Amino acid sequence: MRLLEVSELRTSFFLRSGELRVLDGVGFEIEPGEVLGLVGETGSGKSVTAYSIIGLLKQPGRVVGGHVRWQGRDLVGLRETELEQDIRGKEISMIFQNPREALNPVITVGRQLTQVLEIRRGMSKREARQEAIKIVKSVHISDPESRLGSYPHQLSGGMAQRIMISLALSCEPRLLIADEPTTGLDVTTQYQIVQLLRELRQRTGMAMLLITHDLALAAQICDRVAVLYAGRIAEVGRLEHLFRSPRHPYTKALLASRPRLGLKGDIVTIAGNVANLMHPPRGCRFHPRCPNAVSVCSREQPALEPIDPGQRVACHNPVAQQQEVAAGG
Amino acid sequence: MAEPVQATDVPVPAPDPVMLAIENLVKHYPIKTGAFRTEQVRAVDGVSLSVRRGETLGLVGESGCGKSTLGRVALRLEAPTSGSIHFREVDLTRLDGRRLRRLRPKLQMVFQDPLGSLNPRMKVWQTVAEPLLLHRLVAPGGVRIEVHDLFNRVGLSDELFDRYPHELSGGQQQRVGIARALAPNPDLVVLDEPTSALDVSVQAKLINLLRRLKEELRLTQVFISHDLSVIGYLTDRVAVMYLGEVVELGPTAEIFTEPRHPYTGALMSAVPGDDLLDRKTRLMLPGEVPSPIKPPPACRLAPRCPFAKDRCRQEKQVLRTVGAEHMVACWRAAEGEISTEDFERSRVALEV
Repeated sequence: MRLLEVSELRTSFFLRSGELRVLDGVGFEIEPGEVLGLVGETGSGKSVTAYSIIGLLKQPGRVVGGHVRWQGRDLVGLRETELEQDIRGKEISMIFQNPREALNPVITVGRQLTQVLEIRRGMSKREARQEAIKIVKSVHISDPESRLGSYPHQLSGGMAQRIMISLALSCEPRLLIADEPTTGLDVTTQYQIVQLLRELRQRTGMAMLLITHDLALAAQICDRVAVLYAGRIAEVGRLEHLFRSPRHPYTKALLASRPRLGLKGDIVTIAGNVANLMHPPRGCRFHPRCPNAVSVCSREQPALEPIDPGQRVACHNPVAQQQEVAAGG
Repeated sequence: MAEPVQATDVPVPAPDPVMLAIENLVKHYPIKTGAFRTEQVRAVDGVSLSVRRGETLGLVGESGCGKSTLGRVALRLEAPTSGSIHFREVDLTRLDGRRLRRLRPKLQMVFQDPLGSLNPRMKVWQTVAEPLLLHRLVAPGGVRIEVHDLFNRVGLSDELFDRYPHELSGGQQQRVGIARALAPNPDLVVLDEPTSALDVSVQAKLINLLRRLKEELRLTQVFISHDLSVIGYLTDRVAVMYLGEVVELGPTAEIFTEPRHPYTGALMSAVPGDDLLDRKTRLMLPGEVPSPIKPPPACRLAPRCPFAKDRCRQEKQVLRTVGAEHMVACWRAAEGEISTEDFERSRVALEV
């Protein structure tokens, strides 16, 4: 059975000036043990997707349609108490971009960890303490006893993210949602966190939904990648295929618009600006910026349909397949 | 170095004179660490470097390495603790407020947070016009035409003239910031992470603009960024900073392809290659950047450096020449004991 199946998910923010359709029919699935990357620019709806899945949306945001099936059970419409008891933190955990802000500033990190273990896993104080040390060791924090006595502000960014990961792992979730887990960390520390996430996935077999704007990070860790544009999935497929032979013009442009050493002349850019979600373009939301646009694009919304094995694209006039990929299968 | 100057009709000075020369610059910030204790954050700790006219020097390093502080002190937006800053022939550290103000138009800065660096109560054209009027560079009647020209140059439409900063997108705001910096025809521009707050597609356009401006106007720039891909694309030379010190300085292509300092080697191993799918191996540095309050004595990288020897923990490292315009603050690299190949060999793959 699929671990997670999101279909036709629609989330809106109801502002005084109108309804902001942030997610407009997002769908993807995650198999047990799989790492799916959700890639997109600011405002594409990446984080809102995550919050919609685990029911952490705040007013004025609301899921207005679609399904989030967790091992067959629909989480949309589930009562808050049920979500809290059965799902959040237990089956699905989440880590955030600013770990220091996500931790409670007035309680030691050790207490935050043992609290979870006592409440969620019914451990005694002593058991919880021992388990906390074990978990913290597993994320390669040296000198765990003294670290557990620290307050969040006393930790470096990398250390705080390790603590955040420990908290997320404390109930042995089957899915970890990582929202920009390395953004804001130093280059040399980023790699340590990426390596830790990969190692944990290998060891525990948990699946991951990695939310990022960083294509290079996605390439380091994902099995499959979904590209989000203005609240819709533009393209989804296996990492290698999607990166070698992007079929959606947006994916192609995103991959091309990188500065590099020794690159002569201009970087490839995408015309225009990100779609206005209050008044999104009719038809395909990308069509006003798209070099491949044909007349149907401004009239009909393209459906996300299979194009290559394991790859689906929502485009009326997709980019031609790269030869090497076609030959390699 | 330079070819002998030939006699021509126009007397040409030696090419590319030094525009900015920083000598032994130190900037310490006092912070209270207890009720009766004050300690020094050694943000910049003895940096020497120079920038020639028309050149773009990249300043790279991780957060807290002092690159932004160095940028601000170099323009005398903050006073240094010690050291000298020569802009052309003038030592900026010896100028009084009045003479410094007179030089201000020639020294400009572009900030990371475009919205925070624009006056929210001013229409954007007024923001760009302000330095022109303030320093009496243009007669009041000619200001709008001048601003129109600047808007044009940075790719902003005239329709945005009367907007307020919050009405613009992040990319447009940053263009306004660049237009304002260019307005007084500066001799030196320091750009502090100008593209870091922007999305990939917006960033690409801004980078193209910066490259074109650099070529067309032959701007002298200090470009501060933690994004090595941008540095590789936009700069001529690079200074790599670690904990308040420059550990390596050299031509951009050489720094990227033949790093000599182990820290540079680690940074460069993190630069995404042409093929993102190539899961690169990396030179790992264990641990994290230590506090700039109590930096390690001697070589500051030594506690994390996989190549460290006893001498590294005893002897302070200074920049030593290892090639044309290429300097490194590592005795093992300078004496040929370690090289780029050793960094390559010590790289590890991600554990799968």
